Amino acid sequence: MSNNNASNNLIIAQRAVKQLRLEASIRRIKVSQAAADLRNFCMQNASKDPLLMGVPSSDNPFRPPKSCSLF
Amino acid sequence: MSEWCICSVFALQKVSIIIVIFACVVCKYIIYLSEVQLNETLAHLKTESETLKSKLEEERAKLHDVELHQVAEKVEGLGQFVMKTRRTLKGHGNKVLCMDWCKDKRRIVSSSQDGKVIVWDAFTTNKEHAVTMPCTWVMACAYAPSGCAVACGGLDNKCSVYPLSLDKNENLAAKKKSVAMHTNYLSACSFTNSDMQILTSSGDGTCALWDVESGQLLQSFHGHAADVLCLDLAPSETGNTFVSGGCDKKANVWDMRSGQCIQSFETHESDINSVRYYPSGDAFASGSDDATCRLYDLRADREVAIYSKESIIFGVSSVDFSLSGRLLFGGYNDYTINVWDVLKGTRVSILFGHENRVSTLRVSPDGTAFCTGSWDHTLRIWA
Repeated sequence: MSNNNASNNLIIAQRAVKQLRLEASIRRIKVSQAAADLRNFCMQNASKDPLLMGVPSSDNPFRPPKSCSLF
Repeated sequence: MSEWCICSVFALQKVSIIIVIFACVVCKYIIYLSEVQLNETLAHLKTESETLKSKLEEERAKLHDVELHQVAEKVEGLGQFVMKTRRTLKGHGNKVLCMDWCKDKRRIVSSSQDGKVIVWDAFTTNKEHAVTMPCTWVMACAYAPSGCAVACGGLDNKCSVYPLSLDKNENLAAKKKSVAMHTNYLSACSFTNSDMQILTSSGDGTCALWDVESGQLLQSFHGHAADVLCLDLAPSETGNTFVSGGCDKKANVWDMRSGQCIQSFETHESDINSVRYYPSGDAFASGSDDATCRLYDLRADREVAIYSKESIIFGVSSVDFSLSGRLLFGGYNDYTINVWDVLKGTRVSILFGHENRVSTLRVSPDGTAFCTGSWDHTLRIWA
């Protein structure tokens, strides 16, 4: 019945408004601060990043060693 | 006498008819009024939702005082990268759809369209286990944190867990445990911090958290308006949240305990195929069919970077960060992998090798290499 549809739409709309109210109320920080934190994290961890720094072939299990050793 | 009786009966009939008609009219008017009231409340709610949406945009814009690449101007640029295919894993009979690394940084599980799930030793390229699923298009697979089991699923609408045994001859399919049940295809799955719980996302528009032992549904997450295509759990230090991306172009951040959607981002122009948390847990990246990757910061509650080029027109199927978060790897439908400088927003490298679209990409747990799976039936390890 058209009444049922209307009340379904009502429930959906009520939920949407409730969700939006929740999202509007969260605390936010400035992009400058967030960006600075991202940059600092990158800088602090850069030395430990093998794909970024490159790892000598002998340490990286995937890179083939330059010379073969015979036992 | 009889004439008078007949007249009065006639009159009574007329009056009763009039009363019934009047009652009908009043009833209809009451129904009409309640419908009008409902419609008014609906309209009222719609305007409130519009106002809230624009207020949200305003609040987000107020804090947008600088761009990420501006903050990164003083940071040293990255040099040339030499990354090559170091291993090629061949053995799948059809498109590779998904892969995952084991925590031992050496084993890989991959799943493909032909229904096969294979566990590989990436160092030696040997196949350690193989399972044939009862369905085709196994779109999701995941390694358990202990390394003792794998989970997979796809068109069967289920997520099944297979314990891996050391005995190579044992039939793995016999020990299969069905954990998740959805009403549409399984698009992604991931174990949480232990082997005991699995998080799944599905084409039915929901995500769900399951207990592996009992198969019980612990929590379900409703909010996407269309198929959910991907999910990623926050790094363990940052708490119980996960992010999901879907065909409704939205990326939602969820609280695992309450089932509530805590943040939502809608800036992509097409389906979001892949989401991945930044290593610190404060941001996440997404890759979409609109050919862009985007970075969203959770504390600033907005998109902070777009990684795109005019020459890139094919969609991104999967993204992942390097260990420090400085590099973002994207697997594209034009068979290439683009490597982006996350801070500066520029592309540092483009990698060729696959002969069909790249469908899945994951960096190894220790960050020494990354693996890609493709529709060309192979997986490649790059370092």
